[in-house]
Amino acid sequence: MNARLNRAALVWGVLFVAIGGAFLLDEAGVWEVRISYLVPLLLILAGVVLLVGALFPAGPDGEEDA
Amino acid sequence: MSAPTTSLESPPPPQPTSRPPVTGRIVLGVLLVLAGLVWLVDAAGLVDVNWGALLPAGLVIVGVALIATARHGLNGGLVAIGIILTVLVLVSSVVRPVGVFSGIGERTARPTTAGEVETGYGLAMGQLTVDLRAVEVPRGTTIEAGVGMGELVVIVPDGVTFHVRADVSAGEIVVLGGSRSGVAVRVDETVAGDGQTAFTLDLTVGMGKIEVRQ
Repeated sequence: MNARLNRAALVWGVLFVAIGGAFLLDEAGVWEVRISYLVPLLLILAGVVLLVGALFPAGPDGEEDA
Repeated sequence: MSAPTTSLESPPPPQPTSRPPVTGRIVLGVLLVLAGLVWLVDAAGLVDVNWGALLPAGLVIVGVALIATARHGLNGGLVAIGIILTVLVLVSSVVRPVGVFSGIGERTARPTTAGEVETGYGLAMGQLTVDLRAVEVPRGTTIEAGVGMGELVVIVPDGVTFHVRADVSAGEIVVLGGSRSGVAVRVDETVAGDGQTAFTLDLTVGMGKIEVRQ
């Protein structure tokens, strides 16, 4: 597959899905969102972004092979 | 003298853009239509809508749209919509426990008779003061008070024994001078005065400060 994915779009998309999903689970009573979770989750996200950037170098336009 | 030469090469054709320019408008349109439909069925009494789930659901839709269109590049409009929804989700989660429509500004409650003591006080944003010095709170009463974002001050009579449960998601709790601050701060203690415990304070602030003083 030759499609090239924009990494920034992926990161924003995953971030929004994660936040929205967490609050949906909170509404459903499955999981409780606490503000104390925020900082460690942001650390994990920053680490994942760094790892993806290191393991899968981006093209000149910030795109990578899918 | 040489004649001017003309180039037979035609200008390069414009590069086709791979980014669909309407994606942001499509997603925004879908979100607006869905919000309108949900509002309509709620207003018609057909369904009891859980409004707290709408903003996160919208955020998930925007995220999925960003992932689905990632091969076309980054859509700034979608990111902007997502950031706005994220802010609304976070503010809503902080304010909603005390009621989004419970008010904004500065409010003071100063009951002078036991009958005027309410069991619940709330303010969405601002400063809420509950002054109990002029009243003898009936023994066993639990007074709940909450502020979404801002400051909650409860003034109790001198020498009274009371129990206080206080929760702040992010900020500070001060009970008679003793201070705790940080994230997910909680205080659950009995303040000893004269005699038995008279009443219980159940206090909540999303972001801000709770202060109990005499």
